[in-house]
Amino acid sequence: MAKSFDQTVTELYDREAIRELPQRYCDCVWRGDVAGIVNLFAENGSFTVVGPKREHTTTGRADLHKSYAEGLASLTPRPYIHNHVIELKGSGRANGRCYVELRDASNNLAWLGTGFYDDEYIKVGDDWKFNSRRFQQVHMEHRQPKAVAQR
Amino acid sequence: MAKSVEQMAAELADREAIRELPIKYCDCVWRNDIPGIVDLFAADGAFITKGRKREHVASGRDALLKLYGGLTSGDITPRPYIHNHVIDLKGAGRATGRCYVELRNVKQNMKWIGSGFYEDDYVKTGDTWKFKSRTFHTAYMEGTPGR
Repeated sequence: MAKSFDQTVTELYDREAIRELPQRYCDCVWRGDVAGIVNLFAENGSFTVVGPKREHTTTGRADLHKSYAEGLASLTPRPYIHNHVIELKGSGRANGRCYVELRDASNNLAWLGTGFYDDEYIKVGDDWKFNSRRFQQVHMEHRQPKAVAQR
Repeated sequence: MAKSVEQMAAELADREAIRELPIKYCDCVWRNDIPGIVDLFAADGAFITKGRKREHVASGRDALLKLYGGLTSGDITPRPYIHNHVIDLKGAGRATGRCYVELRNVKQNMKWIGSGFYEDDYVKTGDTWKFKSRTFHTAYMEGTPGR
């Protein structure tokens, strides 16, 4: 059955809000706005980094804040987001995938690597949030953390 | 209070029109369409370049035409790629946004030459959104376009 005008507009509005989440995430990372990053997650939201050998998950805003503060202090990534696909699941749920390139602010913005995020989104009140983000590295240049590299 | 469908549709239309501004800007730069770039600005619109040591402001149509007219005159002919555009609607035909750019140089076989971001003020002029001001912040740049 064809969607009504109201349904179509509501879906477009949801997709627009979800599309903005990874964009704002990148904007916050560029500006070192840790509180801004964490506010994009639901209260019990999680971030997982999937590496070649292991994965590490951080859950909840307090731990996310600590993790991002430490991560952005030692690494200085400058992300550019691409290819965001979104699937609305209904009942305030959605998932998506988007691809990122990273450059390194501590090294003349040299290319640092690429990968993709598998995201789950949840509507909290009127706002869409990350329920979870899983970052899958595809390639990452080897570099030492900033504190070591500056010695 | 939840937004009405009419409010949501109007916001979507505004956001879509605003999202198109930096994209059209890049498209015009790629095609060296200087009047096209300047048409994206309000009549009193301004472009501001912020470097580490100084700031340069071009304000108004004539100043913008002069500024962008020198775009390809130096060692760099930039080819921009825009990313990460965030938009905040402020109401009453005003909005702000930020977007990030990577630049490649035609004169160096499209070598990657730098990156930075724009802080934008948008204004609705009649039915059309325009740049009220663009402030470019350099994050890293090998050389300066137009010099």
